[in-house]
Amino acid sequence: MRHMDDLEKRLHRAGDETRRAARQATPPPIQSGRRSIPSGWLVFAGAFALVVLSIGILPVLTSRTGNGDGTLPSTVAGPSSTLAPASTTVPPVTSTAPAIASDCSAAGMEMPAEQEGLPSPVAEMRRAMASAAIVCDFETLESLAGPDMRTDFTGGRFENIPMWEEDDLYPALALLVGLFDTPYATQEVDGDTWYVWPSAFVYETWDDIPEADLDALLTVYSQEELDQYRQFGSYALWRTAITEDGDWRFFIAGD
Amino acid sequence: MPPSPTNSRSEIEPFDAFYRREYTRMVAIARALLRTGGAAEDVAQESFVAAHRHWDRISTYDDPGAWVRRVLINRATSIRRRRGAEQRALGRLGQGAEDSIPELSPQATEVWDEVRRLPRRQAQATVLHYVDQLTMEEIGQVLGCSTGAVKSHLHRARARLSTSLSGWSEEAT
Repeated sequence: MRHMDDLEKRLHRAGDETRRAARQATPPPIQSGRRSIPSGWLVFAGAFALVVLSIGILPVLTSRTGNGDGTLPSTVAGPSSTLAPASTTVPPVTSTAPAIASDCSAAGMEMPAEQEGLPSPVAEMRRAMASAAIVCDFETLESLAGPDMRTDFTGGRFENIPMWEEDDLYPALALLVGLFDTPYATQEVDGDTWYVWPSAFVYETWDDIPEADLDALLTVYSQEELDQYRQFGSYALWRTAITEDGDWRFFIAGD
Repeated sequence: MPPSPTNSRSEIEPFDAFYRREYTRMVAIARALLRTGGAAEDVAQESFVAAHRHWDRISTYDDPGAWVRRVLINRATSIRRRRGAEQRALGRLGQGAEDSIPELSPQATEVWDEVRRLPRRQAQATVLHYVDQLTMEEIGQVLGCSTGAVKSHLHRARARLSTSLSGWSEEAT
């Protein structure tokens, strides 16, 4: 009994001291710019890419042509890629979600702005995915994923996303929502047009990525992170794609 | 159990007043859940940024502070677990912002180190109770669970802490 009393006192003392220390903090001005994704996950994205490279999957994927089999589609760059405007004048969509469950990495994030040039099925799927992500609605997301959606190169599908969130290896939903706020590109995969976020993915090298598109990546990654990953040659970080028919096909990282 | 969007208060509080009133309380919560003061301030500010962006909606809740606390504790827990995973995988710690609030005493540091080892809900309930001094009902609103569940979390937390912090005594301080 005495021990529990001591424990209670110690907890209260620690709480008192922590409140006193926090009072030294001065509220900084609130920045209205968009928040970047926390950086810690990037180490794992790199490790993930290296692991994939090391187990020999790379040779079958390094051909930067579309394969259309549900795994990583082509990273076709150049003439076949049509880039969307880097910015849009369409006002942001206001989320109609009644509340945010806040038990995932995307909780509290803003709905991405509407983007021009997307076919209706693609725009609707993008909106539905983001709406579900910011309220941590995994069930809806899974229903949107469909049977051909891929999350890793070994055949993993939607089930990886809640697992990553649970383990906190990747803030998967925050990345997904963040990517939707970057410019998209299109690429042809077996005669179909796929819409890919971010547009940086379709370029052969980092040096080919236009400044405006790099700037957009800074809403998701820090400059330091982007600099760190230039060593991989081309953009091999997180990307997601929706087919012109509105099928969500992949959310994947690595090369 | 999301915060109620129905506001029974007579006036909507300006964001600035809410921010100034609640900021250090949020930093304190985050400070207990994270290892460094800099990281705590980062997470607190990030949570307020989210509230600021949604203030038209958040301000209509009966308790906007509960929403911000919920975002904050989830982000703090998420960041802590991610950094732990980094440490295990690569033998390095994530870099937080430079601390601008004082270091805690070794006694308080030990307490929060042990609290952070508790299961997530137990740790969150403990911090909201001892740092933010919320009632059981208020903690339930933040965590989205019943008052009974909060009491259970705290009871289990105390039981575990009574073992892990058993080396401490009043005389040792």
